[in-house]
Amino acid sequence: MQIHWPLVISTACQRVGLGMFACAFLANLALGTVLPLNVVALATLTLLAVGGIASIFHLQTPARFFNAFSNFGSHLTQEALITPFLGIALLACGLNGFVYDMGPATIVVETAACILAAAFLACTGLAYQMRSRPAWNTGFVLGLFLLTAAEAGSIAVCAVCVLIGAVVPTGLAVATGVLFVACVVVQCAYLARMRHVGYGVDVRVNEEPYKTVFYLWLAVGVACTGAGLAAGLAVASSELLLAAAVASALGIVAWTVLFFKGACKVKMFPMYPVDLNLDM
Amino acid sequence: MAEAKRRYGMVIDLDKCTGCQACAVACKMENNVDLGVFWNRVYRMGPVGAYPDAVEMFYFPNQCMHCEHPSCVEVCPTKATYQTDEGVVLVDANLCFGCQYCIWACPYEARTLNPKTKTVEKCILCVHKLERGEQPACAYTCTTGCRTVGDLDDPESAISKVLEANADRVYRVHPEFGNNPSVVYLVPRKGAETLCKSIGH
Repeated sequence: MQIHWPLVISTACQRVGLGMFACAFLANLALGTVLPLNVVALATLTLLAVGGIASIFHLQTPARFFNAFSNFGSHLTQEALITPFLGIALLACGLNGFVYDMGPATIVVETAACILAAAFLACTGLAYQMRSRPAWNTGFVLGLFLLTAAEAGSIAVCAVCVLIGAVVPTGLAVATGVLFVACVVVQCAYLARMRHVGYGVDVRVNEEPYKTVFYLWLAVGVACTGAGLAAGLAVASSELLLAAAVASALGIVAWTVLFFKGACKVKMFPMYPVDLNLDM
Repeated sequence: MAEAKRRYGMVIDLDKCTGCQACAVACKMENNVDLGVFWNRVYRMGPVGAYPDAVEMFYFPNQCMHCEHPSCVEVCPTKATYQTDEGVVLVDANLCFGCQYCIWACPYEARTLNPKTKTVEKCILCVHKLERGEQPACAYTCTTGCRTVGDLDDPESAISKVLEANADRVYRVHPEFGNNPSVVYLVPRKGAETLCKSIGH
């Protein structure tokens, strides 16, 4: 399948941004950290804006964007419906402490933003689950969207922790490590599944045209992210943790390119060793 | 008394198709389809297998299957893609914003993004001709008469009779997806042994 770069960029930005906000919120809630959620929310909004602008380039007639609110059964409509509420909730969190003080309502707005962020990511993941694309016809897709967001988000939160001069709580460090390993394992399982999807479109990622981007993902998304995270946590270096977060984001980009490349359409007659020809 | 509801469909006898592409040309002329865009194409499968006894080859005309449960309608966020009461799947070009989600969701490669209009297009089953009681351009033009169009729900229609007479050759592409296409194929009697074997004919 053709790589839709605007979608690669927009989904990567969404996952990093929303993952970071959700992880920061959960860390403050469960681990007692005092991460500046207003700053994190503004950073998330910036990433969402970049992603949103990128996705506009995917639309052939963006002026008709408002038609997208029509089919409530479509995951794209659901995504479009969540977007303004998510934007307002994030903006409210972002301005809190700078422009006004929401006081006890803060936790309510932050919780709402976190739930909307998870719902948005779920809608995006579900949108890609399609029967016509055997590689995408699996619950792995939704799991991967959520897991990659959690992985990139938790690494970014570790970096924020060190940046503000706090110690990364053991719980957060362990959770980040677990998420990183789980993410790599699930991504590898998805790649292994692609070898046997049938319909004449089995994908072997260590062969052309997939292997370059596969090795890129291994190098950036696995090796650099893992090394940066381990070293950053060991020496409490914000630079290393930021580098790990950037590597994780680039890993998501490489992974998404592979995700698009592997999403071949079902063959009309998979029982034959060759595909249909067009004699014209 | 109200007129009984129709469900338009098409039967394509692959035994008769010679791959002449007259249907593809007629479709473009009838519907003013832009250059580089096709609503109807004829593909060739094969030849595969060892000469002389095991060679398999047949032609496969492909267009929108006007599914009973169309994936494209399900996913379209703008409702530009819709299904008429007669089961014909159409695209309202004024609503389509070119997200191409329907192109990905269609298992039958029936949809094309028109680079000129920047909207998605596909076969409309010449619904304007059907409403006048005429045949779609592809069926009217077909030199071998391999296409039969009509009401799948009417047991007395020509299409129902063709299906009944050839029940042993009826084939819906990828039935496991549950789309239930209204374009039904009759598998070739010769030259498609692998296909016949795999679908149990």
